[in-house]
Amino acid sequence: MVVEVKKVAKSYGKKNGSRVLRDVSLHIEREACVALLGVSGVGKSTLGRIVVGLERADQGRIFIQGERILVGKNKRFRNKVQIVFQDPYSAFNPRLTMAQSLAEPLLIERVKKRERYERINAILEDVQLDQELLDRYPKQLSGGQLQRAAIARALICRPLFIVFDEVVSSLDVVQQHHILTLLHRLKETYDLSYLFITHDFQAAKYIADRILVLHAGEVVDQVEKNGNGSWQHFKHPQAIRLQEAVWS
Amino acid sequence: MFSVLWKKKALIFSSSILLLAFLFALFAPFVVPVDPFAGDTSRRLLPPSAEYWFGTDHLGRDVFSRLLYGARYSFLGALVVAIIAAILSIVIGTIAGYRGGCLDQIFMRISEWMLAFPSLMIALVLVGIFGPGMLNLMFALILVFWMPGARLVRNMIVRLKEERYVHVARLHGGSSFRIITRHLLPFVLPHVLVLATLDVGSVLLHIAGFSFLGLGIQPPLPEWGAMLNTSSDYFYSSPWLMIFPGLIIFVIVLSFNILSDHWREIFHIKK
Repeated sequence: MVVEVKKVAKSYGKKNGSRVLRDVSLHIEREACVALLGVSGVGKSTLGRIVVGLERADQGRIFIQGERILVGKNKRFRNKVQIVFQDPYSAFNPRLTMAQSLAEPLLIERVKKRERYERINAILEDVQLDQELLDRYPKQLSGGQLQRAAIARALICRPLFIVFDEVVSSLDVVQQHHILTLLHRLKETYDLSYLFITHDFQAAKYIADRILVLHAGEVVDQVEKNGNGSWQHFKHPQAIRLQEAVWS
Repeated sequence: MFSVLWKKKALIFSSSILLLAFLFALFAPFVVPVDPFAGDTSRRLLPPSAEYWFGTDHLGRDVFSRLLYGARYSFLGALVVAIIAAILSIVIGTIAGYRGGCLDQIFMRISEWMLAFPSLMIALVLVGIFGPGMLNLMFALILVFWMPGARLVRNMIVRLKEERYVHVARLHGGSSFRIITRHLLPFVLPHVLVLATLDVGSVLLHIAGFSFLGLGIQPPLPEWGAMLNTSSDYFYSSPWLMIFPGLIIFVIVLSFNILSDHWREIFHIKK
């Protein structure tokens, strides 16, 4: 088991503030991809941020490879858990070139210059990005290119587990397909585990092995892929509504 | 190229004046034509001439030499106060904004309390406590001028630390120092530079004002404000004694304001 989330709860505001998550539990095995499906505002992103240790849960526990994760601690796991955000433009420091941004995790790890260079080039090849882009600033790249760069940056520190928070939502259909195919391939290449946060049932079906439906801060339904590639059926009305809400 | 220079003529002009003033302040003892402290009653209150460009004062001292030498106190003093205040504001604002919590609360309450009073009044009280003199005045002005900058830095850090790329840097294991120096301060520093440049002019006016009131630099030191103070009795008979120090204060403060405006333009900072 790579990730285990046990009865996580989170509220914003003071005592009577809005409760975003209620007793959410999930687990992700090695090389598995779990999709977290839900409409906007149900707490998907909050859960993603709690899982990677960017936010503190009010209750519950997170374990990565059996070790409990606490916000601001667990340095051993720091770069082993990564997140890729929906808007790639906000995920890059606008004052750093792509080369500087990609080198940042390696500089923190004190990787030598030669190895840094090799790892950056290798990862660029993996995400199918041109080396010429290294000298450019984030605003000089397209959304698709920048999202690939964000994936490259998450991968460069060789993580165990990555949270993808609506990574394809801001891209056009062609780019969405390219990114999803890329994520699928990278998962196999690097033995990664994913938590794929989305509101798009089709994207979840394409990439995940298991889909959890989050509604009003709770996991209300979950389905798995059958051996023949087909999916189990949802039972919860909200999950069925999400499944049916596809443009025909 | 020439048209760009022409457009920037105000910037070039003000920068040249400030650079010149800085050099005079640094090398004043070597460049003054006449000893600024040496009086000669036989040549007192002489009008501007080829020999004494800005005339002489009531003790027969060369006003031009005293103005050049005075740059050490007025100009350099203001520069040092603004730089120390800017450094303090960066350090305190960053710690308060980045750490948050109790430390931030304490900082915010102190700054609110200080904002409730005019800066001149606070400086006046502090000078009253510490006593007159260059160092005391500078210390009082640093205590007054660090706060607006620190609030600016604190507010920017509070906003910037929630940016996604800062979260990513944290996940990569970046230390607080690395996150602050690489991802936060580069966005804050241009704003501090604009504010500090504007502050130099303001501090200079404060130093001159306090010296004029007799609370700052004391005679016979040729501080520009103190020169205005000692010349006030001779304004009608020898107006150059007040015109030249007044003019130089005006030009220097104006130059800092122009420079600050151009920094703002260069770094695309909104007013």
